Amino acid sequence: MADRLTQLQDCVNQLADHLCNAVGILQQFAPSGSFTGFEKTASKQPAVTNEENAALFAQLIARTAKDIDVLIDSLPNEDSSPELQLASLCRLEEENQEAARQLEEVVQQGETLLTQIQQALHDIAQTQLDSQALQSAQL
Amino acid sequence: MAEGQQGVSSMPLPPMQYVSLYTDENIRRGRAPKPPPPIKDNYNMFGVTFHADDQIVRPLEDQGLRRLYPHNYDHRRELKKLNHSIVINFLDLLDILIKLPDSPKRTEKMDDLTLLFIHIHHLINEFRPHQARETLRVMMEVQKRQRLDTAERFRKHLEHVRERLQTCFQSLPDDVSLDSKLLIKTEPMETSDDMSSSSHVVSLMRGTKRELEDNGEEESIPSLQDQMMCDIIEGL
Repeated sequence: MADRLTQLQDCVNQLADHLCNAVGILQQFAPSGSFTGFEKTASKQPAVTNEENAALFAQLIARTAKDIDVLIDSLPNEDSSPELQLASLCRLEEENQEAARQLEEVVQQGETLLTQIQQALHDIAQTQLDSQALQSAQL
Repeated sequence: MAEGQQGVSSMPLPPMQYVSLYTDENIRRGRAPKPPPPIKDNYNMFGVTFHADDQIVRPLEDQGLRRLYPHNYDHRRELKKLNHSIVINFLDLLDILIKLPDSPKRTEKMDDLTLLFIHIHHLINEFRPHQARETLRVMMEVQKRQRLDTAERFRKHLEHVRERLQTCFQSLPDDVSLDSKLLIKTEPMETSDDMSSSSHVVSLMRGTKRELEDNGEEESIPSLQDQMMCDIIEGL
């Protein structure tokens, strides 16, 4: 689902398409006009009646224009001006840096704890080896 | 990629008179031509003039087209007015086509329609920088929330780990005495994986080692290691 601006652009292009197509099709499939006095060629009925075509195109164009109106309504209004946006961007930048600092602090604590535990485990393993040695010396 | 082996290629040939200047010799001697400097003012590309000092996203409409809306305008209202104008102008066009198809009014009307469409697209494009800033703002908020969440969860894990360490230390037997030589003879401790008993062993052995060193029996320690090696090898 594209974002609102792209949808709006697509709708506008679609409206232009409908306008061109309407004029083109109606002109192409119109029965030829009759001259008074020349009654030779019988007018043949077009495959799909022109009223239906005209009604269809009118409906399409009206619906597309309505869609465009609805999409325009959904756009944000002028309250959030560029200055406001820039200000909120600066504020968010600072808050982001603060959050990064906190994260780094916590990670640092975790790392020191990890090294302490590793040191303790190393000591334990070392003395286990020594105790094994002493054990074998006892026997 | 357009040509197979040595067939006819649809791409133009490389400019040999330019490429041949970049031999190894020339580069070593420093006589190869320098890269072209960046272009500062207007230039033409494929027939379209590009201005290098454009206000990137929103060049003014005054470049060539008539402006239909006042200077301080509400985007949405103007967009709606333009939308309705397009439909009304289309009706007028149909009227003209019905009545007198080949009049100059027709071309005028079509130009009006073109102008209206260009206006609509221009106003829509003016929203794009706004959208970009909003996207940036939302992305930064998401990032900040992620960072805070991660820090919080990590802190919780740290607390859990510390708690478990505390319980381990507390479950150590509190009656470790330094009279450990006696303890060793009567209780052959086997090394186990339980942290509490191994830390018990740790403290016992530390006491033992201290006593051994105090008695000046350092020379027995290598032989102890030899004994240990013998035991391990016998165990294999």
